[in-house]
Amino acid sequence: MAIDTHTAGVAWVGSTGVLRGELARWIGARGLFHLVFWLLMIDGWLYFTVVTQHTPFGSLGYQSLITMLLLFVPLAAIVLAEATVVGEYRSGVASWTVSKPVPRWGYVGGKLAGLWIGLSATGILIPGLVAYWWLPKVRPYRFVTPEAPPLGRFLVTLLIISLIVAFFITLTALLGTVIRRRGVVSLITLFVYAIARTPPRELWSGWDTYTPAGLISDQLGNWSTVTEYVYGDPLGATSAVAWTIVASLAFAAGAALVYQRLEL
Amino acid sequence: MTAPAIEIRQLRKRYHKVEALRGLDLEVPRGSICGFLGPNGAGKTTTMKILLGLIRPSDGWAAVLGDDVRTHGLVARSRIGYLPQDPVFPPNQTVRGVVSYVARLYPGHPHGRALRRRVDGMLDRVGMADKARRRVRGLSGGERQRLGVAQALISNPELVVMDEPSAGLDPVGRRDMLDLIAEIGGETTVFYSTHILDDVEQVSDTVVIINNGRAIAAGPLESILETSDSEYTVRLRGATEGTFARLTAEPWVQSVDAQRRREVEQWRVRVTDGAAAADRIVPTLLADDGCDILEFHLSDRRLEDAYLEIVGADDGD
Repeated sequence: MAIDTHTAGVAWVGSTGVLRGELARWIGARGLFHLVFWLLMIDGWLYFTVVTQHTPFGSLGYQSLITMLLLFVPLAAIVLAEATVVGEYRSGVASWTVSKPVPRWGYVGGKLAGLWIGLSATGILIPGLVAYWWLPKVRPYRFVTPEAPPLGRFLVTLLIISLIVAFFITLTALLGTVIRRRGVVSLITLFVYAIARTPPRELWSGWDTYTPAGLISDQLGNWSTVTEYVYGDPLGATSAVAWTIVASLAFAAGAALVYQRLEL
Repeated sequence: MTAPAIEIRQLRKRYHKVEALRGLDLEVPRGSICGFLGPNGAGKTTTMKILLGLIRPSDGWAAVLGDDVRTHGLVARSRIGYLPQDPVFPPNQTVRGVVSYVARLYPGHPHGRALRRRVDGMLDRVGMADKARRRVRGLSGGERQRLGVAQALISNPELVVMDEPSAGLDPVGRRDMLDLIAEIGGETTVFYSTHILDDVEQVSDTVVIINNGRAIAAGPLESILETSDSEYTVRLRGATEGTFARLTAEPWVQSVDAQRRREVEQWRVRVTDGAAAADRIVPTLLADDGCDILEFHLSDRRLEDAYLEIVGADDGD
């Protein structure tokens, strides 16, 4: 069915309106809460480990930073995506929103994109850049002051973490639109997260090539691929990056497709 | 020719084994305030949700302002303001935030200060200006309903659809809601469902009655009231037996309910043919010199009587 320009214009205004509304929440009180939370969670904890602890983390500040981001932010993404998709469906907010001139794919896309941008900014980019700035200035308890990696490489690392967050947001959204039960969606997504961190390679050798496990699991060496990349190792998992992007897009499209058929 | 505000033909909706709509036909003219009546489970909310694209019909056709809701649902929704039953809004947003958010979802919305002026004007109109900074989760049921009206009207819609707008409101809130419906009715088409028939009589000019998924009566309020049987009240004294026999023998008389108090008798005469009754009832009553007519009038028909009669007759079929 051909879409006329008037319909396309209405769809554009509705979809961008949802995205703007979602971003406005991140710029407001919600964003401030997350910013403070993540600064305390990531930078605060990092400062504590680097400056006061006897652990080897004290000398490896940037690896510690990446490890913490990979550990905590995807978990937050799962919780927030579930609250957005399943929570708004069950409360009736989703029904209310799509009773306006908002296409359902625009609603799903706007919500997920807003969540991804907001969480990436407050949970990854800002705490990461703040840590990038202060880490070389501290005097650690043991070993040596961390040496800052090139800023470009550091930003690419943050971008890859953000892609992993997108993977878990869209996976949760897809499961949320199909199952629509919060506890069940949480369990499945957390199980997938656990598998991605410690994939059973004896069952399938493709984990590191075709899934985010190739980026975040640390079974291959002391650190995950992303963590090692920040200090100069080549990113040996470009296919994992590519497949993470493809999977995220596929999950988002799947969620929109399922939502299209829901009776609200 | 301008298309009606709402046009529905043979609309059907089946939920598993339950058929919520069974070939619903209805038409709501532009500029009208249409009360959508029916018992619980008659299909009112289902019909509204189909118009809003929230659920898909199993069969049939529906159009809003000429736009088919299946093929041009998005465009149709851009011309509708909708107040759902028990409206739910994002709990952490402020009142102003909710209305601004909704305004931005519609094409051609104003920006910046113009948007803020429109939002503040709308909040003022629904009596929520002093609560603009309050969060939704702290609002009472009545305040939430007012916010619902504000977000439904913020886009200056050509059609306002309201699902039980005065349900759960206190008497003052209900009065305000009726005033608001009457006020916006002068600017746009209003299609609202309700169980409160007094409200419909006060503000509606058009009525649709739905039962078991079908429209069983529709049209101007006056015609709905005339649809039902008329009833006369007669108070008389003296030898009434002959008059009673003559009256009950008339073919247009459905029943005569007689009550006697001392020497005065009161009859409630229900008639099936209003025109015939208007011609014949007075001569019939005056034909006998043995009794005096103390009082005679056509009882006021209320929508509630008409509604119960129409729905009752449909259920009896």
